[in-house]
Amino acid sequence: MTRAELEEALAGVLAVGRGWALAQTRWNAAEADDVLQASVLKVLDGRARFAERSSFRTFVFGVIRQTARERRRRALVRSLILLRPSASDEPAARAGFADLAPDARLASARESARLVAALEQLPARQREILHLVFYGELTIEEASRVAGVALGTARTHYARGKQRLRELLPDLAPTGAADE
Amino acid sequence: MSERDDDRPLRAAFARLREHEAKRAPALEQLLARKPSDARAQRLRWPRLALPLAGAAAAGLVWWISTSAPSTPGDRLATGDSPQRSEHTPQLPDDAPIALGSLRSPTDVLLAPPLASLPRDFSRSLIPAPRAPASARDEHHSLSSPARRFSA
Repeated sequence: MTRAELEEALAGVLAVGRGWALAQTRWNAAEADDVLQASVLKVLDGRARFAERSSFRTFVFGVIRQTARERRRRALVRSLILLRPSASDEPAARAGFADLAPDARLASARESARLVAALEQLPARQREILHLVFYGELTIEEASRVAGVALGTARTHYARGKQRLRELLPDLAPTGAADE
Repeated sequence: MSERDDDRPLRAAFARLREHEAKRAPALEQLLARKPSDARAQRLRWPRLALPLAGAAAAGLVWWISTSAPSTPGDRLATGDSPQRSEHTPQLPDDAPIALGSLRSPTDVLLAPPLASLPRDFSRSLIPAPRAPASARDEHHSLSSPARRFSA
């Protein structure tokens, strides 16, 4: 792929990629933007090469996940050296939802805040698989590749994650089940 | 009802979340042009680490200089410093019966008087006297003390 083609393809997955970066940084907006930027730069300068074995979206999601992991490791080492919490642990760094909730016009923001809060209570693997399938609109197979788990494992995480999420948010239960 | 139908409320909730976040997503040009937030944080953090490190290094240097100078006995002689006597330095009694009685620590060897300035019978004082009979020994002992000898 040429640089122009790469840029065009990246622009197409940027919004959904940012959502995945947010999920990887536990909804820390500044950190997510850093991860997204570093990932895009990796793709553009050839440090991460698209081999066309999967969809471009799956590839970009994989790069974002890898970049977020590297940064988490680096932040951990830095916080150990400096004996202070890393920036992502600071409550002030968490941007997005809590400050928007009182605004009545942003009902969807409140709903989203509830969903994010519920996702935070799930184990990391379940959270990742659900996010990739429902937010990133990947298939379970693609999600398993991005998350680096076997397909069967991904299916298990998917089913258990959905079940747990419905327990936490009863209004997300199937319509028929809610009527019973 | 199929699984896909079951998932409809879940998919709708995630779609709303996606729409909400899509409004905040930067364009590719903006993303490439932005300055990483951790670079700003690094600039703030490293001086905080560098200051204590520099302070510790300076304190270590002062300590090293204060404990190591003068470093050799020769330096001490040149500067005229007397060797430090600590409580741990083995000390000989003042009335030690040898001319080297002034030796109080190994470093004092260098400060000992030259051999020519020692009395002629100096070497005799280093050789223990032959054991005498008990009665004579008492007398000898009474005379061997410098104080007694002086008074005699």
